[in-house]
Amino acid sequence: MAVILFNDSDPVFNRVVKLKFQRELNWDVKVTSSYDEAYNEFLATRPELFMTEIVLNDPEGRTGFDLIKALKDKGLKKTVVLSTLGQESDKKLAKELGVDHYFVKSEISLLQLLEELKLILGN
Amino acid sequence: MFIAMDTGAQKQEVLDFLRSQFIMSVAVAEDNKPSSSILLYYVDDDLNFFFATHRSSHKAQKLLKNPQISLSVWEHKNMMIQVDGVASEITAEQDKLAIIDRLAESAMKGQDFWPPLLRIGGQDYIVFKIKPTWIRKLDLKRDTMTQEETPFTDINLG
Repeated sequence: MAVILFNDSDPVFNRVVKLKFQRELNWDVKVTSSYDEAYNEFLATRPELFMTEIVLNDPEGRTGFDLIKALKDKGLKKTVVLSTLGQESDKKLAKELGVDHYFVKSEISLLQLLEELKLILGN
Repeated sequence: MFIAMDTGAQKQEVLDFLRSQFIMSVAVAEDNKPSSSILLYYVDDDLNFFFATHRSSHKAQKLLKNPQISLSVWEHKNMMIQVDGVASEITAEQDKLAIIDRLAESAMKGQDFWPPLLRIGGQDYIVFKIKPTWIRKLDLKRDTMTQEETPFTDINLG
């Protein structure tokens, strides 16, 4: 069973996505809602794929990009950004960081996202 | 109009029906002006309804001023449930998250269903509990043009 770590500060969004992924694809989905939670959960569970919002309500002003950089140093391989923002500068930075895909929430449905993630995971 | 009184047996039937559904129509009022909306809901064993919305929404602001609320859940050729009740805000964070978990479960009942609440944006959610003061069931299973016995049953909330 694939282990996925999903990080988004919206509690409703988190819960619906988690259940959909679990029900539709039988993935083991871990959900976090902050920089520190995601960092610790990654070290604890070593997920095959990490998906994160880049706009985090972080008291220290850190973003999802800072999180991806930190986790890359800890062995993170497959990474997806699922963000409210779709600025070209963000997409460019994601590419430079080796993010596999950058999805904008207003441009993709949940079912499309599921299909894309299946491709990234190779199943 | 003759209304049958539930002796208790129909409460479970109503609960089973409500658990098979996940969308309700609600009406709130402010200054004698009603407004209606459609919402994702969760219902507990005591027929209390729960829903989440944005704190800034019209219905949330109206309910905070006037907690009286009316709702209905309907399925063609099956049943309609009408409820009057009083809404109150769930304020404890852990309770809110527990209800949001239940609402996420409700959202799973519709294939491809994605809560419109999430499309609107914003994360300042408010969660309400609706305690019913009156529940009436309308049986819609009959396909005859009229029927002699009443299709309405008032549900015993005791």
